[in-house]
Amino acid sequence: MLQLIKYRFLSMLRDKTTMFWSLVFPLILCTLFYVTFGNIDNNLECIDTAVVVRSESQEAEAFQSFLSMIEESADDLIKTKEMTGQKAKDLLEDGKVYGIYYVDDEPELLVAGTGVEESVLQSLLESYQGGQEIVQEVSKERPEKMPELVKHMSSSAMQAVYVKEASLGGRETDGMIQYFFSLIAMTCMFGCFLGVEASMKIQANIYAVGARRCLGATSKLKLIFSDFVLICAINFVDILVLLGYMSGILKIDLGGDIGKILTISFMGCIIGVSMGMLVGSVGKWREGTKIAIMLAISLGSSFLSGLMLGGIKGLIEAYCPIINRLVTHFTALQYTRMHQGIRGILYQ
Amino acid sequence: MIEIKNLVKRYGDLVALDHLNLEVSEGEVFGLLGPNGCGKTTAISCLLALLKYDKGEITIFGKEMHPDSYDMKRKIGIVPQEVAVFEELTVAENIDYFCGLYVKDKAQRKECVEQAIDFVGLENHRKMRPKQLSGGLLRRLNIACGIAHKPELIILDEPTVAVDPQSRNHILEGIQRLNKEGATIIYTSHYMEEVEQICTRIAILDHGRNIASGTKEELKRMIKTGERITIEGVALDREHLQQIRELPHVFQIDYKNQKIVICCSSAKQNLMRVLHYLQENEISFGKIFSEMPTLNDVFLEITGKELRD
Repeated sequence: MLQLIKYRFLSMLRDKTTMFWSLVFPLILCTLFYVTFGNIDNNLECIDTAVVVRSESQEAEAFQSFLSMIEESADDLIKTKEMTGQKAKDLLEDGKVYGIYYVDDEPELLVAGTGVEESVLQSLLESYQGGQEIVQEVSKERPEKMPELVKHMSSSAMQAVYVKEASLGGRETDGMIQYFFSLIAMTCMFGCFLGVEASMKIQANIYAVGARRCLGATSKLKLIFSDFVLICAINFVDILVLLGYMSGILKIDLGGDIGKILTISFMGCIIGVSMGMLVGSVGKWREGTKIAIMLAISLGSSFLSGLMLGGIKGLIEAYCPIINRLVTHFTALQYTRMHQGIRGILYQ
Repeated sequence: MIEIKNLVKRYGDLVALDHLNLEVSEGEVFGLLGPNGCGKTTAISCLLALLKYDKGEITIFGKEMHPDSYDMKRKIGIVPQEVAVFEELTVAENIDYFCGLYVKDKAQRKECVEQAIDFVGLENHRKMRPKQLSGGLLRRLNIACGIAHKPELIILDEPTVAVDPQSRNHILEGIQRLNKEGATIIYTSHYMEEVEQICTRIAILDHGRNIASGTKEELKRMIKTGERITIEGVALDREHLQQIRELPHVFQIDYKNQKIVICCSSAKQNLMRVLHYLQENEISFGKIFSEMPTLNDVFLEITGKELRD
C-alpha cells in the first residue's frame, strides 16, 4: 500500500501542470494581489456623494435614513449632500462627487466611473436593496434599532469596517484581506480538479491506465482511498506553502489565529477533493465532459450565491427560497464563497 | 483455461459480439485475428469483466470472473492496446507500481521488476520517463508492466501497433519465450503475419463472430486455394488465358498489366505445369513465383473481403 502511495505521490508531484495550478498559480496570484491591493485601503478617502430626493414616500425616507446612518456610523466612508438633480449632474461631470443617489421608491445610483469609490457606492446600494424590506420595517416599527442595522449592512458592503470590529484574534486586519482569504479558499477548491483526475484514472473506460489498475489484484477501494488521502495531503501542503508565503514573505496579517485558518483550510481541501472525486466517478462520460460538469457546478452555484449578480440572492429568496438553502450547501464548496466562511468563523 | 459460450455484447443497436464462442487451452498461444472493429478488444474486455455483456457465459480457470476476483486477477496479465503507464514515473517505477498491484512482498517484487526489465530489454532505459522512449520501447514498457508479476495467462491486445520492425521482432520473440516458460497467451492482432508466426491456434473474427478457428494449417485446409502462382512481365492473349484456365487444378486466374495470378487447388507439380506451358508456347516472362495460401486468403474466401479492408 505504501509503495502504491509513494508512486502516486511521485507521479502527482512530477506533473508540472497540476503543480503549477495547485501551487505556483496561487503564489503568483498572491503576489499580484499584494502588488495591486497592498496599499489600496490606505488611499481610500471619504467619498463625496450627491443625494437627489425625488420622493418623500416611506420607502424613500427609509433609504435616506440608511444613507444618513451610513454617513454617521461608518468612519469617513461617504459624505452626502442633498441637492437638485441638475446641480448633482454638474458636480458629477466636474468630478466633484463620485456618484448621485436618487432617493425614490426604488433608489438609484448614477456614477461616472468604475473606480473603487464607485464600487463602494454600488455595494452600499446593493446592501440596502438586499435588505430593503427589513430596513423599511425597522425604520417604521423600531427606529431605535436602525443604527445597529445600518452598521451591520454597511459592514457587509465595506469589508474593512466589518473586519475591524469583529476580530476574534483581537488584532486589526487590512480590509483587502478578503482577496487573500479568497486565494486560500481557491487553492482549497483546486483540489476538486485533482480529485476529478484521480477518480478518472481508476476508470477503465476513460484511461488505459485506469483499466490496468482495475485489473490489478488490489481492491479498488484501497486505490481510491490512497489517492484521496494523498491528494488531500498535497493540497494541504500547497495551502501551507501559500500561507507561509503570505505571512512569512509578504508579511500579510491574516488575523492572528493560524490554527483556525489551518483547520478550515484542511476542511476545504477535503471538501474540494471529495467534490472532484464525486463528479469524476459519476456517469460514463469522457474526461472533458466531467471537467465541464465540475466547472458548471462551480460557476452555477457561484452565480446562484450572488457572485456574478449582486441582487440574485434577494430575488431567489423572494421567489424560490429553497434554492438559497441548497446553494448555501453548494457554496460551501466554492472558493468564491468559502472565504466568507473563513472570515465569518474567524471574525464574527 | 478459458471458455466463452454464446457471448453477446451490444452497444445500442450495434452488435459488437454476436454469439461468440471460443475456447483457449492451457499452454497455447491463441490468436484472435480480425479486421479493426471486428470485436477483438470488446471480447477481451468482457473476458476481464471490464465490460458487462448482454448474454453468454465466460469462465476463466473454471470460474466466472468478477471485478473483485482478486485471486484470479493475480494469475492474469494484461497488455492493453493503448500504452497504459504513468507519464511522470520512470520505466522502473512504472513496472514496480503495476507489479505492486499484485505482489506485496518487496524483495519478491524487486526481483520481478528486474526480470521484467531484462525480459523486454529496457536495462539501459530504466531511469527514463515514457515520453523519452521511442514507440517501440514504449510498447515494450507496456508489456513489462503487464507481465512483471509472472501471470499464468497473458492477454496482449494488439501490442505491436505502430512499432518498428526491430521492436516488433523483439516483442514477438518475447511472447514466444513467455509461452515456453509456461504462460498461456491470448494475442489479438489484425496483422496476419504475426499471428501466423507465433500462434499455435487461431480464431478469425468478423462482425463479432468466430468465423473460423483452428491451427493455421487447419484454417488453410478449409479453403480451396492451395497454391497461388504469380507471373510478372508476361504478355498473354485471350487464347493463352483460356488454355491456362484449363490446366489441371487451376480454378481461377486474374490477368492485369502483364501480370497473371493463377490460383490452384492443393496439388503437386502446379508450378511445373505452368512453366511447362509457358515453355511449350514460347512465352517469355520477367518473374515467376509461387505462394502458399495465407490467413488473408482464408479470410478472403470466407468473407469475400481482405483482412485490411
